[in-house]
Amino acid sequence: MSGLKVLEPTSIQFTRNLGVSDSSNEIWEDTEKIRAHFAESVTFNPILRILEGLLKAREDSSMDNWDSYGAKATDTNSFRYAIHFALSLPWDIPIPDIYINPEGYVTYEWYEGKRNVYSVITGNRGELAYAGLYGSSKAYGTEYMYEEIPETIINNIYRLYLE
Amino acid sequence: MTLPKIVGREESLGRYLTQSNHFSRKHNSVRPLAFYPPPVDLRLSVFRIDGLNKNQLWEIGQSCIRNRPQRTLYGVADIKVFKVQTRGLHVDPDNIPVRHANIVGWPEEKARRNSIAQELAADAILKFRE
Repeated sequence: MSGLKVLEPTSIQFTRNLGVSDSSNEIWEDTEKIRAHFAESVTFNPILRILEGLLKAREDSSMDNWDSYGAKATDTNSFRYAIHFALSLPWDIPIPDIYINPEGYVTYEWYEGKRNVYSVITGNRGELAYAGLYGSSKAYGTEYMYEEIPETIINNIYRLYLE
Repeated sequence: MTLPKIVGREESLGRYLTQSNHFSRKHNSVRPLAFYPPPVDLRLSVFRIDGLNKNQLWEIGQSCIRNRPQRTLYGVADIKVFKVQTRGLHVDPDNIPVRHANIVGWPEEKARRNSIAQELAADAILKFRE
C-alpha cells in the first residue's frame, strides 16, 4: 500500500463554513463569501471559474427534490471533495461543465459532442467515479482522491482533446 | 393505436427533457444527465412514443411537468428499445399513465451507470419541442 492517504474533507481549505447545515440561508451566505473573495480574479483564472461553477451548481441544488423528480440535495462531502478536485486540476485543463447529479454528487463533465465526453463524479468518501466515451471506445472506473488527482483521470481528460 | 404488452426491440422510447443541461444546442445532442436514473428506485421514466403524432408527443410531455411548475419541457430524447437492451437494461411497461414505462436494471456501480447514461445519450435522437 502506498504511503498516500485519502484526504478527509476537514483537511481541505475553503471548508470551514461549508455545508455544516443544509439550510438554504447558510448555503447562500457561504456562497456569497466565496464569490466575493474571488470575484475580481475569476475572469482570469480557470480554476477559479470552476469554483464559481461549483458554487452555482450547489445553489441550484441545495434542497432535496430540486429537480422535481426526487433528486437529493448537494452532498456536503461530495462538494468538499469536488473543491479539492478543482484545486488539484492542471491549469491547462479546459473548464468543464459542473452540475449536481440526482444522487446529490458533484459531476464534472467535459462535453465535446455525443461521442466525445468524459465525466467525473466526486463521491462522499473521496471516490472519483469516472466514465468516458471516445468515439467507439469507452472507459469507466473508480479511483480515489489522494493528495493529487489520479493520473488515469488526468490522462483521460487530455485524451478527449487529443483524439 | 394500441400498443402490445411486450415492448418490441424496434420500438421508440421517449425520454422527456426538462432541464437545460439535458441537451446541447451547440452539438444538437442529448447529454448524459438526461439518462441518469433517479437515486430512489433507479427507474428511469420514459414513454413508448411509436404511433404518436407531434401534438400527442408534446401533450404527453406537458403532462409530465404539469405538477412541476419549475420545470420546462425542452424536447424529447428518442431512443430505440434495443439500444437500451444491449446495455443490459430492461424496459418495464407499467402503462401508468398510458404509454409509460421505466428503464430498469441499472448497475449499482456509479461509474458503470454513468457510462451507460453516456452511451444512451449518444444513441438518442434529440427532438426539440416545436
